[in-house]
Amino acid sequence: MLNGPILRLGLRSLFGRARVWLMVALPVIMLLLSAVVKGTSSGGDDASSAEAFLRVFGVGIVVPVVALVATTTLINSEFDDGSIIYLLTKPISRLSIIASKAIVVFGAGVVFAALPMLLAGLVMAGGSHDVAVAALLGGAVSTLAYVGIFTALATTMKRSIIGCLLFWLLWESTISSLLSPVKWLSARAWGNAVIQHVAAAGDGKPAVPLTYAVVGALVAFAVGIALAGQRLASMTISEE
Amino acid sequence: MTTPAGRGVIHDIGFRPFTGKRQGTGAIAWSLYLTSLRHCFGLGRSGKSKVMPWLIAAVLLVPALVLAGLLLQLNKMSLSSQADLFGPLANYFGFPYWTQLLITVFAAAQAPVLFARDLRYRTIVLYFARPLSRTAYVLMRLAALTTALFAVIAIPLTIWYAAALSTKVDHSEHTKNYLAAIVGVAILAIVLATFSGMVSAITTRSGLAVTAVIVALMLTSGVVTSVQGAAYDSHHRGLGLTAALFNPFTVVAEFVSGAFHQPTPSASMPHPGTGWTIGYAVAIACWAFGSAYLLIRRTRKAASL
Repeated sequence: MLNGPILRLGLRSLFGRARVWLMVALPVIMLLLSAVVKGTSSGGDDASSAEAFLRVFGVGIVVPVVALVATTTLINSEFDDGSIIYLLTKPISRLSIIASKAIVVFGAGVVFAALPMLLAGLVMAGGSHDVAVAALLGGAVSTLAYVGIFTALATTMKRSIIGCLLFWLLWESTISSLLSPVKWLSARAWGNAVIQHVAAAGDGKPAVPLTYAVVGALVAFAVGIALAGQRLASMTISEE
Repeated sequence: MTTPAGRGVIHDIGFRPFTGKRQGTGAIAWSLYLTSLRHCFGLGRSGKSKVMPWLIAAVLLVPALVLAGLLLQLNKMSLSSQADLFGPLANYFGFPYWTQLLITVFAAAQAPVLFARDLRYRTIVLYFARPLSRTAYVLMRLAALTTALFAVIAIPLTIWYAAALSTKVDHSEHTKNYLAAIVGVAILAIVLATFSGMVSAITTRSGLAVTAVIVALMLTSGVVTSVQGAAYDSHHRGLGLTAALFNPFTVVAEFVSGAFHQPTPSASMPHPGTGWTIGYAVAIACWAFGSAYLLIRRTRKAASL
């Protein structure tokens, strides 16, 4: 299913560009801010404010931006400048091309979003109430869902970078805060729900059940890759 | 071929020369301003490019019309529910703050039209074949984008204000808040225009410029909002005030609330004192003049072949 050379190429094109700094900068900002929050908090309920910070900043901003940057670098820009045909002409299943790329993106999301969230959780709350572990799991779940959605959008839309961006800003950030049923179909709500279920701190009620969030993210990932693979398989190289 | 003696003419192949009145630099600048303003709204461009600006302008009218409707209903309400509604309804600068996503998308979609395409396709040298300085070109383009942004935000505000005037609410307070908000919107339009113009002149690729402007504005906005939320929870006022410096919307909102004694648009935004208000004025100047300086420098460099 996965293809070694594609994975290697993906890693190289991800880390060989200036954009990697945007991916590095955000987790660094998050860690700095978590240190500031820790330093300025006047005792009180550390775990609960840490949990809220990780949900708003970690799942709300860091996870989607890292997933967006990685997806656009690996998938969108290759479609937009046409260099994807050099991969498509190789005797590799097109589904496995897109699956390998999506796995690299997911790995980048875990390294640059979920792991820093674990660190930020440790900085702010220490080991109390499993906040740090919850942050890692929530970050990973919502990264999984975002990667699936962005991959599907990247291969089916024209001007796909702006499409992905507007999906994040309109659907995940604006509409989901206005209309509550959207939580059943929102990568952000799933990540938040995982954090709220695993961490024993904070007073918010999780929006969706834990199993639903995890299964939903897995389904979003698989369906996104399947859609993208379908789209790629039906692509013809020749000009009409 | 009759060439007057004493005039150096290399070729005279008999065409009639232009003998009309030649217009000065001012007319060139004015016509550049008008064309740019038309292009901001897709006038004189393809049908596809009219969709985005008019769609956003229409969507921005929706909240203003709803609020105007609420104000008209106020006359029929009991005094207590009037008091509940009165606070948010009288705060006009909350409107650009809460619709910042739409305003950002408008700026991000239109700034590359004015600043990226000419640099990308090197048509900018054609503009400079006219007696128009580099700085005047940039300033006219900026003025057009600022006017477009101001119109898109200020027209819904004015409709809202007109609705307020026709009801029995406190007119003097509404007038004061409306004028404060209009000043704030003008400042915000200048800052957004220079910043998004600077980003598009640096990236020059239209699609990339749109993405870069949206990411730069919405990312900082998200960061500032979450930092202010954390600072509000831990009662740390200085952190919240400092965070507001890093996004145009929050810095202008803080300045308006400090300079005109307005409530801040969001509860987690601290109300600044006099010192902080001066600091915000300096920060706004840095945002606007810094971006404008970089933009002019970039345009000069691109135009010097």
